[in-house]
Amino acid sequence: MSRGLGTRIRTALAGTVLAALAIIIAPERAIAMGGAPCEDPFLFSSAAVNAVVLPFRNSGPDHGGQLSEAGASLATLMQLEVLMSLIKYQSVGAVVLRENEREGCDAVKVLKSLNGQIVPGHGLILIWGRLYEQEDQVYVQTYARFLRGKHSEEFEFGLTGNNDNLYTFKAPLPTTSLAFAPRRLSYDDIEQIKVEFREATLVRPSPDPDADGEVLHQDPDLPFAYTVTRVHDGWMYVNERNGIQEGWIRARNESAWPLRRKMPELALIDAIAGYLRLRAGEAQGVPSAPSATAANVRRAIEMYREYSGEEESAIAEATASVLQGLVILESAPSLESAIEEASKEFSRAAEQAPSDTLVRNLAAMSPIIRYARINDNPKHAQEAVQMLLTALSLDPDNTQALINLETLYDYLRQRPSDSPAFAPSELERRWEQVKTIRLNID
Amino acid sequence: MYCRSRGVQLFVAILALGLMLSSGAGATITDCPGPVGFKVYLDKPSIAGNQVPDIEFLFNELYFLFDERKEREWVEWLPSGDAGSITFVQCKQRQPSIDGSDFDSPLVDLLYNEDVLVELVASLHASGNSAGVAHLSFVVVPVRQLHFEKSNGPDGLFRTRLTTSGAQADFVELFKRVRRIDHYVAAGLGVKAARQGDYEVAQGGLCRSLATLGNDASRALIDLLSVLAVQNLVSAQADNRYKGPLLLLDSTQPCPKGLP
Repeated sequence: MSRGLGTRIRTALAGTVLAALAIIIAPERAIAMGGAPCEDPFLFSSAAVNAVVLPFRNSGPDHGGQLSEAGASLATLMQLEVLMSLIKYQSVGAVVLRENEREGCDAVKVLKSLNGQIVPGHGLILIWGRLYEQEDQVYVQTYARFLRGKHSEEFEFGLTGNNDNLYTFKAPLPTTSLAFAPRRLSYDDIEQIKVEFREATLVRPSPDPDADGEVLHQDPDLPFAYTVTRVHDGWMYVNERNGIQEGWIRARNESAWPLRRKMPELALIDAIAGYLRLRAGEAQGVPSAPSATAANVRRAIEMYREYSGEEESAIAEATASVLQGLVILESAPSLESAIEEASKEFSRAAEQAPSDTLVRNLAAMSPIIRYARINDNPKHAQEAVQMLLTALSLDPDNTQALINLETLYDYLRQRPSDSPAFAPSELERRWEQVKTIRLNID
Repeated sequence: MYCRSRGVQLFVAILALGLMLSSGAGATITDCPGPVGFKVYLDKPSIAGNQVPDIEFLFNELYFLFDERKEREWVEWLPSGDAGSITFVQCKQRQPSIDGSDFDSPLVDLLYNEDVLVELVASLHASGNSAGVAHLSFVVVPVRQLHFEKSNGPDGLFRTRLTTSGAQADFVELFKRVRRIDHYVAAGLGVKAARQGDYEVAQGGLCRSLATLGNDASRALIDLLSVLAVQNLVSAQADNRYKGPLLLLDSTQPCPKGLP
């Protein structure tokens, strides 16, 4: 471990002149960045949400290895950008993986390796991608997978019947794996990625681009970790865990190469992190700050909608709307107070992905809540039934929609109403029929 | 003898010219081997105009864009199992006529039996600095096969004309706007499964296609899909062996509109 001992950078300026401007992160708010070889990935266990970025792979011809180099550089830029945008959620970590000459970096293998490390309830976003070259154009395509340790990503709520039975409804997210539309880059962009990478991995004594810096220690064969203790206008103050290096790095430089505009999926990844942070709840003594998180998620989704083009994946757009709706519900003091607003987002998702059965199933939750918790309007119950039947017509294999339909009929059976959604005999017939079909499937 | 031989040659030449004209000038129909299972054929685009783009590049780009969109968009609704996988196949030597006239009954039967759901024929035109124009013909094979068999209904040929937005003929950007293929593949899958009595795959395909076809879609196609959705549902509900969720749907509303 002799490396770096003679290159320690001390930052007198950082601690004094800029103290008033910089956001100082309290020690217990785990914000960390690191790197590791692909075959030995790690997570920051104290962080409520970790983002792990794999090198972007070149999936076509690569003249002179330019794309492979750009792919690795892009991964680091994304790591820094993701971490920079996630700091507001507190208790976050970002890890970039490096492939060595012996072995490539496979997302499935990495996920398998990380699965055992995720603290139950904590979130993970895995980001990977590919670069593809044709003539003078390069395409970059990002993939993301998100999950929480030992929790499935679904919206669930229960209604207590007059008979004291609990009627539980579930709606899984339409997807937790996203493939974004390919974005076109030029070779100038590729060059810029390399320049920005070199700039971003210099550790300087002050947040000043003109200050001399040292290269951030990133041994491709060894894991490394830095704690982020301060942020200031796109800069992060990082401390290497073993004390061999510390200083400011420029994590975001919008004026030079606007990564977030070139790759609007970063804004959706920001929103996903907010959603996971909210669902992770309190982590290591750091509360999830629901209303602030909800506001941040809303801003991130607005940015994503603004910059993603018409070629964007319908399911990615619908996922953005679903997350927005769920965050509204999750951050509200009660379901009743937020259901109208969330319902608009679920309807929007159904318009964006009209043939997606899981979106329809989720959209059906709103009228059920309205009926049961807000008013007794039979139209809401009928609307929910219709939505669940739509989900089943689009995919008769959607077992959750079938179970929700059975549960809804069962709930309606025990709930007396002056204006029932269905006549008692009709309701009984429907419930028996769904139950029989569900038993056949079981 | 000499004269007779010249006469035969002339006859053969006229016959060949007649065959070429009947199948569209310059049309080439060659075999396009693909894997077992449902397929979408992407034919090599034909080009015209004095600003000839790199057709190999565009062809690869078209394939790349469609194939990756399949990964993104279709994964949620393809029926599970091997039979449900749909493969894009680049037909590198195949350039049927853009007017669809090559797709006669024998050829369509062949494609149907090979599980081809859609064949996309493209013709690109680029001149100088003017905008590029792409003519696209979607041949929805199961719909066209039904058309020949019943002698009515939509002919299964759906054409569209797209113009590049800028002055330059940027066909890659234009290809990104070709979303209709998703609807036509769902329609083809639904029609084929309905004819084979695979009720649930059929209902899913038909309803998904109806849910995503826009107002500018062919009225005849919408009508056909709607009729088939009813027939498929009625058949499922009349089939004593069928015990699945389609029994819950109302045959007057086989693809319920779930939103107010």
